Amino acid sequence: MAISTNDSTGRSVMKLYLTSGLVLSALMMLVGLTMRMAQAQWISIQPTMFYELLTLHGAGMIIALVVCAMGGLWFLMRRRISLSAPLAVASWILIMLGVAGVVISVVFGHYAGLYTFLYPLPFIGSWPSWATGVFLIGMMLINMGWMIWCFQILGAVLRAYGSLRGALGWDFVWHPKAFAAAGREPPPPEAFPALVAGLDGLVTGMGAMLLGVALLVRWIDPRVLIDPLWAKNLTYFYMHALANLIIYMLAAFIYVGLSYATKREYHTSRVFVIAWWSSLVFILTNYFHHLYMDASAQPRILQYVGELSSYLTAVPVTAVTVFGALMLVWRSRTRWTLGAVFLYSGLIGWVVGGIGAEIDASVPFNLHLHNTLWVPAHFHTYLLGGCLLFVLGWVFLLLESRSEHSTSKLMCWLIFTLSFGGMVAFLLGFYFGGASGVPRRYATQPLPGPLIAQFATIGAIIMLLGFTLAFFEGLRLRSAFSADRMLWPEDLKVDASLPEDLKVNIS
Amino acid sequence: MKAGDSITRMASVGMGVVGTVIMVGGIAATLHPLGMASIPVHHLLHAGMTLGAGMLAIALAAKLPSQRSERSVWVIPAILAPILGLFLMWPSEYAYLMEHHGLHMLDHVGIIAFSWLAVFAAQAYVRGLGWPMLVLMVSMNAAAAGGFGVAPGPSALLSLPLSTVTAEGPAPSLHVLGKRVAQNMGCGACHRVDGTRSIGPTWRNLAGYPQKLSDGTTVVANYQFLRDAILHPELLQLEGFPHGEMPATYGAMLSGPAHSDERELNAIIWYINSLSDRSTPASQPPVPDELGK
Repeated sequence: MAISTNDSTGRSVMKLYLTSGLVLSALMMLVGLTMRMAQAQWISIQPTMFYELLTLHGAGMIIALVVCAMGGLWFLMRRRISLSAPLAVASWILIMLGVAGVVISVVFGHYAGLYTFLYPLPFIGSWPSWATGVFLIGMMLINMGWMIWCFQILGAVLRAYGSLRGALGWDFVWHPKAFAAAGREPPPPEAFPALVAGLDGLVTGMGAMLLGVALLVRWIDPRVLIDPLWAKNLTYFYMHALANLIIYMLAAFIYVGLSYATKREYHTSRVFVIAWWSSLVFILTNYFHHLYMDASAQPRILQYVGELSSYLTAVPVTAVTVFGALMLVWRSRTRWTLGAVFLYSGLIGWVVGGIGAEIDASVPFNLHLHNTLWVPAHFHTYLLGGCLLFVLGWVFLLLESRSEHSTSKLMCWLIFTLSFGGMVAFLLGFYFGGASGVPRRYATQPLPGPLIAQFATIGAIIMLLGFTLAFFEGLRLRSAFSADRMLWPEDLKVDASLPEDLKVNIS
Repeated sequence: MKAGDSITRMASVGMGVVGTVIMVGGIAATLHPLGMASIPVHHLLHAGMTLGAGMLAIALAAKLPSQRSERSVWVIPAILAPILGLFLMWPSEYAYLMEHHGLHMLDHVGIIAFSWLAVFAAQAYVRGLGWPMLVLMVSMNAAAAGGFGVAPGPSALLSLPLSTVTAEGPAPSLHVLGKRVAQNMGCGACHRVDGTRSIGPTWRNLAGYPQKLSDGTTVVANYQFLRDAILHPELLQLEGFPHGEMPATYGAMLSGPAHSDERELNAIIWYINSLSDRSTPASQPPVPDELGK
């Protein structure tokens, strides 16, 4: 399959994913704001409705960001090797059908079994049984779409680099001299997020398939009972990995986007490769830190594995990526456009959220923090302050590259100050709440929860104001389209051994 | 190069033969169900059959022409086949299948076919993907043994005929069953068994004891009372407990057309009775026919 110059099909698929993901994110942020306002006691909603909104917000936000990351990474891989666009669209359709199922079950069926759908919660609520079924079917459809994408991406890296060994950069790490002497090149940086997402996504997606079928069988035939601890393990095996994978997938935006902004190349080094191997392996076992409190039933060895894995998943890859990003910018002639600012500030969210996660993953702290707002604090920092900013950074880099207009310094400063400053206030609310022992997943919080929620809500409103300005600025840039331009060098290296019909024309 | 080809071919043939033997073994096992009395063992047997089918699929996929581009259409069966295979591993039907060898064999043939299709399709989509698919399929089926259709505890009591769990007489085994059902349904979230009050009344010394309702009347917690309290909590309001806290969904989960024998419901009531020092025949459920004979 020959791919046309500038790959307009690939761009269209990426736009489909990014647009739907960002629209869903925006809606879910409004849902989140409503919940925070209710906790601040500024508006009054029934607790049952609060849990419905919590279910919607949690599931919707994760899926929205996954969809954004899927579209971007798919497009970046398509620069290296041909990828079927209809298959990517089929994956998107399945996910959107699943999202519709989740929305229907919550809005019309009042399903409130939370986005973690921990067994037996979906079956013992006060909502009708059909709502549980529709929610579970929706989640199954989302997982099917996700697995199609994982298949495609894993297949792409296997085809592009010959084998799993080639995609892992095995010889590059262990036999560097022979590797260089043979004139071989290691996979580019963005191939590692693709490999990790493809392989780990497939592994955990398969676990979710088992859990999904078990829950559906339980829904149809209540005689079938499920071991709750087994179900909890599978739930977090899938959902925690999925939430983690979002940022690892979006790291590809850093490798390509910051290279463009700084006019320097992000190289694959041996340390970089080993760091990604660490994430590849330990992302599958770090979820055990969500089961520390099941110590009476969960084997003790898994608790140790959980703590160790939590560090080994995040620390190496964050360190090399952030260090690499700092070095790219150091004494470069970076143009601090809105896209570059969003991408760069997203690194802060990644690091701070990661530290918050490691604190929660450490047993002595976990005992005090895990059932408090500390947990939403760290994952909001990670997903909102990291992932969403990476997505916005990528979108703005694309808009800036193809627009005749540019963002004024004043507007850039205003958008950044409002969105980042508001975000800091919003996130601090969670951190202070967590440190004060305010419980999470409570519609009505004990003091000082409501006071902190008021502070956080003000921050959220300021942040949304900044995002709204960014939205209109994006529309302005989009209206002044000049021509599609690449964000990467024209001499992008493509595996020379590939047949011509598999190469992408990037000229 | 030729030697390498021969070795590859031999490995493929060997894998196909071993896979076929395992598959045939899995089908033949339906004729001798004694060794598969529990659900986890049954799931593990399915994992073994998946391994055999997957090995055969990889061996056969070796004949596909080499191609570095995608064969996109194969992704669909690669995703759907594992799901369909899992639906054939319906734990509550195992007891029935073990008494109906023909259906059981058909069920195993179906599991083998879907396992084969999943691995073959993955390998056909992009060569090399069949291997992770094989490992994942086997792991998934083996993982099912950990909790799909199994109450926490040593065996899958719920899906077996009651006669197989009655070595100690009806009440002891039924209350063990009831305890597990209650654990699975999360009853313990609101009802404690140590005599302390929680969101709902404690189950310690509940059966056979008088209970005060919010309208001022007092009733003894006999079988009918306990049954109504579980199935229709909206109709009963105990004094001192909030109204409407007990989910009304247990009726559909424990009674109705899908549970006409109300076995799990009665097991829970047996369990509640086992916690009371005033348990009498009036507060106990009827003994199941199969035990009464």
